[in-house]
Amino acid sequence: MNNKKTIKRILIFGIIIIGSIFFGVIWFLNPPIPTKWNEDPYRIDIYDLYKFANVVENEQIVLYQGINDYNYSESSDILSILIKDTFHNIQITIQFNNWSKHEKYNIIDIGIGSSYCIKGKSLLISEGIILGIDIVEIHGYRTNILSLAGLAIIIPLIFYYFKIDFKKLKLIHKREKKSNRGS
Amino acid sequence: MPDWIAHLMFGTILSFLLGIKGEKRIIFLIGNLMPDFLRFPIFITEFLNQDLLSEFISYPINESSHSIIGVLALASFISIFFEESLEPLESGLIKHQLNSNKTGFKFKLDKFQSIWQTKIENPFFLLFLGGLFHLFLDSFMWPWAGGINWLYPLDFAIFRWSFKLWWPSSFDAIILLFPIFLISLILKTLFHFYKVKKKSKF
Repeated sequence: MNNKKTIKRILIFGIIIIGSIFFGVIWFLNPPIPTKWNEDPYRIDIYDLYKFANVVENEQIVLYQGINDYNYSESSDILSILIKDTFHNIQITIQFNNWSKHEKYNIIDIGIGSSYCIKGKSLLISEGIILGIDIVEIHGYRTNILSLAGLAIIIPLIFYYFKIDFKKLKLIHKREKKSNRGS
Repeated sequence: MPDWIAHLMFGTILSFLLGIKGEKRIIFLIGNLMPDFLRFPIFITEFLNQDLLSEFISYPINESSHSIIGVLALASFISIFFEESLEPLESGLIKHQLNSNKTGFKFKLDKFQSIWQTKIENPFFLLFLGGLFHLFLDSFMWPWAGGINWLYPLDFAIFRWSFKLWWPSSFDAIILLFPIFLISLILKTLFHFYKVKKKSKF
């Protein structure tokens, strides 16, 4: 392959990396208004929830966050989950009414630091409270472990492609033996 | 994202169906994992607890790599490391020339086959195709990633597609793909033995 082609390809790759960072920064500083598609809930984060409160009020939303704290009140049967955004210094409370009747989860299943996908109805946005409808735990680590297993498959295949011999790979550099000791 | 085991299984099934063999299959499988290669900055920034780097660098890079433009750029870059083999390309062209006197559907099929054979000799094409299938499998997730942003940087809901079949962190992808993978593997082995038997007869 000629050098010009290689340089061109590296340039394309560099442009996409720098371009994506550029767009990402613009996104972050001025995020687009969340849009609903095909009657699905709004997929937003806490910051979007604050920024576009008037857009998503009384609408179904989906949040994917790690929880910071929770509290269960037995008398009122309400589970309150606290989610913080340390970067923007904001927090919201998600309330699950009639928690004991919740089909999927028990209070024992909720863990601080774990990530959950919460489907809810955004109410009283100004006070940072949303009403939870459904909750599902996300096991990111499980995907990562399985991906590592996938890495164990693809690396030998790459070695096979480039005809790299495992046996010939040496991590320790050995000193060369001097053949002519007398000289 | 579905895990890499699911992506590799899906890639292998497709390579059987598309007639991508031998070393070309390895390139195709790399293409199937390719968009996730740029996820490693997320792990680093999350491990270091760097929210700022995560928001401004890791996530935008990951978002862009999971789009058509990102797959194009990645395929273009990674294909530098793979050489184009010309031998089957020539044989494909010869085959096409030999069959050019045929007419009708068979001729068109032959022509398509020879074009396909020449295309899959190109590592860039294999990587790009693999990358697109990666996005396709990723678009079955819901709602963690909220669908794949195929036309990044255009982030309108209409461009975010998801078939909403499984949760990303569950074993759903593996469970659903494994029977198809097994069946395709058995069929492939049977076809191989059938071909060997047929050759030995002549």
